[in-house]
Amino acid sequence: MTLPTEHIYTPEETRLIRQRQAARSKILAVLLVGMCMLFFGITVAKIGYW
Amino acid sequence: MNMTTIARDIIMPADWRDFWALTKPRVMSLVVFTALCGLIAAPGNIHPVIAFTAILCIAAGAGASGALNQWYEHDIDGMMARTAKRPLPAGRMDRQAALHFGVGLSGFSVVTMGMAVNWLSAGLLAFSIFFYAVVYTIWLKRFTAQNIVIGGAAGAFPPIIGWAAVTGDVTLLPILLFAIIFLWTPPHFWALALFMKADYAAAGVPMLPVVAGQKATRNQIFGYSFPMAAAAIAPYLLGMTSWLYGAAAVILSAVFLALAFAVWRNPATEASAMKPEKQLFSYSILYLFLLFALFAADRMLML
Repeated sequence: MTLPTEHIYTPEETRLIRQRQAARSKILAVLLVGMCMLFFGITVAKIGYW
Repeated sequence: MNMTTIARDIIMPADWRDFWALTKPRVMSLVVFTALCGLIAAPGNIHPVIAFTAILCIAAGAGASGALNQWYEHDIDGMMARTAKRPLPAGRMDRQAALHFGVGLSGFSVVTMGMAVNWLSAGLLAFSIFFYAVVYTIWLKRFTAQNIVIGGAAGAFPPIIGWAAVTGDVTLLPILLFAIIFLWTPPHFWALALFMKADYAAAGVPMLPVVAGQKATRNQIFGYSFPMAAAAIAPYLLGMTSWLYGAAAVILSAVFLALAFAVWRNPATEASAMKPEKQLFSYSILYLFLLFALFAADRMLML
């Protein structure tokens, strides 16, 4: 089987890959921050006071 | 297909929009809405943050179900014009990524629901994901023409889950909400299946129009509309809502029955002549939205 690394990407493909990786990283960062805020909010709501 | 193509397909990371598309956002919006109505209609108080978490978990669970459904159905999705542009049949995403996304999102939604809200609603959420992904998608859909009748239960769970998130139990009223969606599903999907019959036949999915014919399907659509209307009016007849919801349920259901009657009378066999079927399909979505919105509003005014 040909290993994926044997494929040589064109500059256009490389640009598209980097673009998608960057976009996914940003979405993941937003989701992680959102989860932290959500779990903090849940904790406060469960405890019942600040 | 040559190796270059394979390498490109496998290595190119999927766009985040493709993950979003896996969750079937339009289906998710209806699920979130009915769950929110169940949550609003339930007696008792719930902290806004916990309520938000419950709705978020239900949305995530619905999205996970959609992802698992698309993971399993990538082959038949590619054979139908309506679904051929989805991320997996279009080759924009690795199938394994869809599976991991679906399983991960399922786990997150159920565990978060259990820890933040209560374990009854988490259990119901887990069961509804299992029912949609395994019982409906893997078993019923390719096996029987009754696929969407039994499978409709999966889509009927959200208002019960919303209710259970507030009260921690399940009573007659959320079961009636379940019954409304359960009985609404066959006329809704069979109206679609009538004018998409060629697609389902090409993919080998035993939808009722493909297996039993169009006349039998029209009979079933009209037949199911009556118990659906009865279930919609039942909360008022049982004294659980005011006249506001009762009047709205009667009027909305009467329009539904009129459209179902037009479908029943339509002899068309070609999709281009199936205007009543398309009207019923579009109206059925509006019907459910309006019915549940008015139900929630009515309960808010009563409580």
